[in-house]
Amino acid sequence: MPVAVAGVCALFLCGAAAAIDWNISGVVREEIAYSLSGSDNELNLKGNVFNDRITPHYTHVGWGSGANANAATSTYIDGEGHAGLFQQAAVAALPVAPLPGQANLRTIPAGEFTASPVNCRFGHLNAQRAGSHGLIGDGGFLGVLCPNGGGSAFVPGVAPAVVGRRAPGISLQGAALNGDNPFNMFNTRFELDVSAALNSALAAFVKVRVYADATSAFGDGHNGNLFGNPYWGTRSTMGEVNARNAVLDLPAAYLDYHAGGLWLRVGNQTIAWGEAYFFRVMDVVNGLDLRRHLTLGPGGEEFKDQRVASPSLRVSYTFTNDWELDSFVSMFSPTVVPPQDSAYNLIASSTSLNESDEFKDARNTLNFGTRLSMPFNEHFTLTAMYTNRRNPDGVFRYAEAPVFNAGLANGFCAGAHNETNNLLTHFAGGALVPGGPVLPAGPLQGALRAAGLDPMPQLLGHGHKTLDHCGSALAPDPYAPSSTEYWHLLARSRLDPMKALRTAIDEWPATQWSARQVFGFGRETNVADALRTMEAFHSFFGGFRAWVTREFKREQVFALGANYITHSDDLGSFFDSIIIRGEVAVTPHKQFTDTGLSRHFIQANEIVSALILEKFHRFSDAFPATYMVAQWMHREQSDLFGRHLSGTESVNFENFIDAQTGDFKPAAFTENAAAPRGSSSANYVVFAFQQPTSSLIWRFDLALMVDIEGGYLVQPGIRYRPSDAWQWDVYANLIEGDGRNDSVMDSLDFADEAFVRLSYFF
Amino acid sequence: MYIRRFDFDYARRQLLARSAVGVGSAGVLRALWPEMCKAGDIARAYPEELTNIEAFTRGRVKVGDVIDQNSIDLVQDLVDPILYQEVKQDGRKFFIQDTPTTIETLFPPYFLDATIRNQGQAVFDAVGNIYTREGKPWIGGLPFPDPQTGDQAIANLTLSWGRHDKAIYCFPAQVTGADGEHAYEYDFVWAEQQCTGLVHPDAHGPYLLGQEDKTRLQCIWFTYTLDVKGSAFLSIWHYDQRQIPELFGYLPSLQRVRRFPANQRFEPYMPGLNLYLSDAWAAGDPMLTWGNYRIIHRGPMLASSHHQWRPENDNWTHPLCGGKRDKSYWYVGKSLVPEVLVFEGEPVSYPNAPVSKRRVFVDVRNMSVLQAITYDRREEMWKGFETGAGQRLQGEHAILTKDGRPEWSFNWLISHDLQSNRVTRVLQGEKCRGQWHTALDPPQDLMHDFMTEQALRRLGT
Repeated sequence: MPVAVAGVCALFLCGAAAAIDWNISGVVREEIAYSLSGSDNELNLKGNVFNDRITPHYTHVGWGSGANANAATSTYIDGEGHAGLFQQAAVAALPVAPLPGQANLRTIPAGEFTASPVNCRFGHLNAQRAGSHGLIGDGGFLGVLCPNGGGSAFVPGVAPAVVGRRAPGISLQGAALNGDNPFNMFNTRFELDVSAALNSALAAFVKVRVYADATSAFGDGHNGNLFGNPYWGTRSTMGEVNARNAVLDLPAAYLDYHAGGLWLRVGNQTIAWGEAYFFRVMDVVNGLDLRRHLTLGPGGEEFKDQRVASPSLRVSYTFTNDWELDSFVSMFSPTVVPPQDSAYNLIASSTSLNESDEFKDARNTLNFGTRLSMPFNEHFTLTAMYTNRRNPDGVFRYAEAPVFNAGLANGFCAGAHNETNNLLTHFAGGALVPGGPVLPAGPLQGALRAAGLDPMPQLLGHGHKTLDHCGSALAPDPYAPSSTEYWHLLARSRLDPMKALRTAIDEWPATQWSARQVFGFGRETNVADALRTMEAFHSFFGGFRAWVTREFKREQVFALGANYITHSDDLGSFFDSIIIRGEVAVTPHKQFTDTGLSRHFIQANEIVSALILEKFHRFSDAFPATYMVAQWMHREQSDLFGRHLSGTESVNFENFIDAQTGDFKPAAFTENAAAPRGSSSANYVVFAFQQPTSSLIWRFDLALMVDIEGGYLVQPGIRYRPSDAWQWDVYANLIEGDGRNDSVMDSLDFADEAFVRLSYFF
Repeated sequence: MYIRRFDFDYARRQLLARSAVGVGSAGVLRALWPEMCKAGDIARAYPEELTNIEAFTRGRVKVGDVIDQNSIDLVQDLVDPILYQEVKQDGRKFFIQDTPTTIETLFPPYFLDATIRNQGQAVFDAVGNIYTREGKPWIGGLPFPDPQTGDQAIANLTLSWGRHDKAIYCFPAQVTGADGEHAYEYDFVWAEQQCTGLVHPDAHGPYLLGQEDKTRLQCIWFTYTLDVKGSAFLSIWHYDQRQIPELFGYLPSLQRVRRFPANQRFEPYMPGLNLYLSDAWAAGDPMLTWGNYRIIHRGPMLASSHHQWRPENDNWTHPLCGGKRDKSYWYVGKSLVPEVLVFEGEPVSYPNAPVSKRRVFVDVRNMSVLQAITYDRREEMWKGFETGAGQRLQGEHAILTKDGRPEWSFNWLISHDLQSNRVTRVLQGEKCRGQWHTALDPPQDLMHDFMTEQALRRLGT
């Protein structure tokens, strides 16, 4: 804990504090959000629509007409013209030897390695439970079979046949994962504000926030750890203590000093810049803590409860002409994403997020910035801002998977447990799968060398980005997605499923070696290639999940803002006293998450701008003035959540599989046909108003945000303040996307809810 | 036997006669203001029955009496209609105080000095703003100590609200509901800095350097309850009274200072509170955004013009009385004010204002507000803005200016919303939550400390 914060705490504890006139106030709040969505968040395990589905392997010979299995898919040819080990014979049979690095060779039938006709949910675990010793090798290849054995279509409790049509029925084991919770939130909050004026120039302020969530007590299914993250130990923000369902933190703990035009604030604090409302253009100092209610609280509260405080020094000086220079230096603190397997989760539960190594790179680094506010006259003010920061939102990429996961050795990792290497060692000879290429008995490492191919990569350690301890971003996991689910979830997450598959293979040496140099799979450039690889992997390795991390890249943000207030001689005119605000922020060479989760991030000049019109207008003498605000935000490169726009409007899986026959459509063979279509820019429009009654005891709110790509969020609300001690808030979030996955509303569509708050102030 | 020089109703007839024609100087026996300047006392400007309640009521009411619903009819002609209703129907009561007659009991010393020094200097320009005869912004004190018109009366109230160059007022405020129960409580701090018309000897002239184009800077920040704590608003008043003040605000939920439109001035500051921007000092809007000012009445009145500071009580508070739970109103004293000027104005520039007019009762001796009654669009009484003021001198307690004279300020206000029957009581306390203390002409630099956007951020949480 930095010295300043410790100083504040010491002040409040020391004996000298007895002379200080304390001011203590607080609130106790109960907050309940009832889900209006028909189903749970599908990114959570318990809400995953694939839980009880036995999804077919589209490249299995028994699927559809069988044509898919025979479709030619890409063959790997290395830079010296060598094919992968298992494709040596097929490539050698070609009339013309391949060219080094040739990418258009197609010798592999899509179903050549698709041993299992289905992906039984819970496949890996079920295979174990069924006593399977695996298909081959040393028993590590457990596949995704249903419990009664290899390749079976057996599903407990339902008819078994699946050949020629969609896998019927449900997986009871998978269904057991389903859960439901009618509540998105059921929490109790306690906040205590303690302030002390030490003298006329020096003051201290501490806010303590305790938040306990009991949502999990009202539902079933798996619930994630709501508050822990591996940043500072298990703390997600610097000044917190957390448990699985509760957190105590210090949103503020600072000392204030002022003298004349000078103001210093040192300690744990948040800094909000810019005038756009909810749209973060110049508001770039702090990340957001999205663990409690995402950003779905009452619109009028903006990010009050979300901004992440961090130890900072803020220095402001107001000149005699009212110009103000406001600067800060603050310790980096990341945006805390909603926890997986929680109501507002935004990251599929089948992905593991482990940011500890990358966070260490950013830990203890500093962000800094300055802002000059220049009021030229009573109507016009110009603001210029510069911030140099580690982007607290971060950029995602694949991360190295653990050597052991879910009690199992990770067969993807390079090293003693690598199943591909073990296969080469223990292979008994013959066809790997029925009808597949015939191979001699192992060990085959010599054959690999003889073919001019690389041996299994060696772990380098010492923090190497890809060969530190595993060399792969994948690991077997009982909760892993099927290939169908993978496609669905990645597309929903604004990623390119095919590119992400390529990245998981080509950027990770152990996986690359296995998939390319041993199995001989060529780069996945179309859907048939991709399904071939995924279903082969699933058939051999079983279900697996990917590891993802965040890097917090440094960036510079330049911004200009202005506000102007209209004037009319007629004070009753609607056009009098309209405040017009405009802001634009430019971030050169900003880095965005690559749609394939590559470590080669997308880099582009981001321009974010907002235009805001704000007005109080009294429409009648019966009600106080109505507060209205209309805003427009334009973003060149990313959406409201910072996701690059090249990931929008993913292509439905149905575009590639004929719904009647199950066979590939022509699009499945078209290069990059599965890539998201992307958007050229993002535009959001907001209109909101607040209408109080004459005494302000009641207030009616309505906020409407429209994503021009399609979709809206409507938030009606009522605030009732019957006394100084009590306040009721009743709001609803009604969200509708257009289903094309091109708007932020598509990502929030699960969060329809009504929520009520009862606050007691003291 | 003492032979009265004038019969009993002489004073009342004189005052009524001047009210009817709408002109005339204050004072019955002689002009009040010259007499105050000359003698330092009002006694010779009014007959005894206007300075002595016992004489006025022919002995039926005397100093020390408690006026309640049983006795209010004895002084019905001396109280405003809201006070009458509160006493008669809602159990409010007050006690009778004597009527000090010396001029220093009615003014802050430096403001009085300036009023005397600058009398006769104020003129209206073509649009209605106040300038000196040399065409400069006003130089301090009452511009029109003996107002002849409603325009002059409102100018007296508007150009200097608190009659100090700068002040910090701590206001614990409480609201009782129609049921007489406590409903809301807020603490807020109100700070004023005059930009023109400075009167303090340390002010280096009548204008705040670099701010000569403004009337004042005024900041309000809330310190209690938690939901509003940290809400702070800065109002920048232009000197031109046709212009709406600039308004900047810090809302804790937004965590930053934003500019707000200030043309809507008839909304409560906070839920339940009967106080609007427009209500401040009964002159909360630039005076030229209202109009049709006219004097409608002159006459004696029972009002809280003296001895309203209660330093012997915790936080200078007053006992409570009235309402269904006997805790709706301050239990305060009222003395006979010999002459009150009542004028009205209309919010002519605010077409959708819920207000049709405001009737303001001012003590002609010092032109301070005693009561302001706001009428709704149906011209029915809506709410009052009743104040109490006096010297900061009470027994052994005193707050003095730097040259040793007793300070003067208002002490409390009651805003009674008659239509909802909600009563807002605001005390000018010694302090309020947040470790703030009331200070008149404090030595600190209020402008930099409280009246910049930077200060709003610092005051916020």
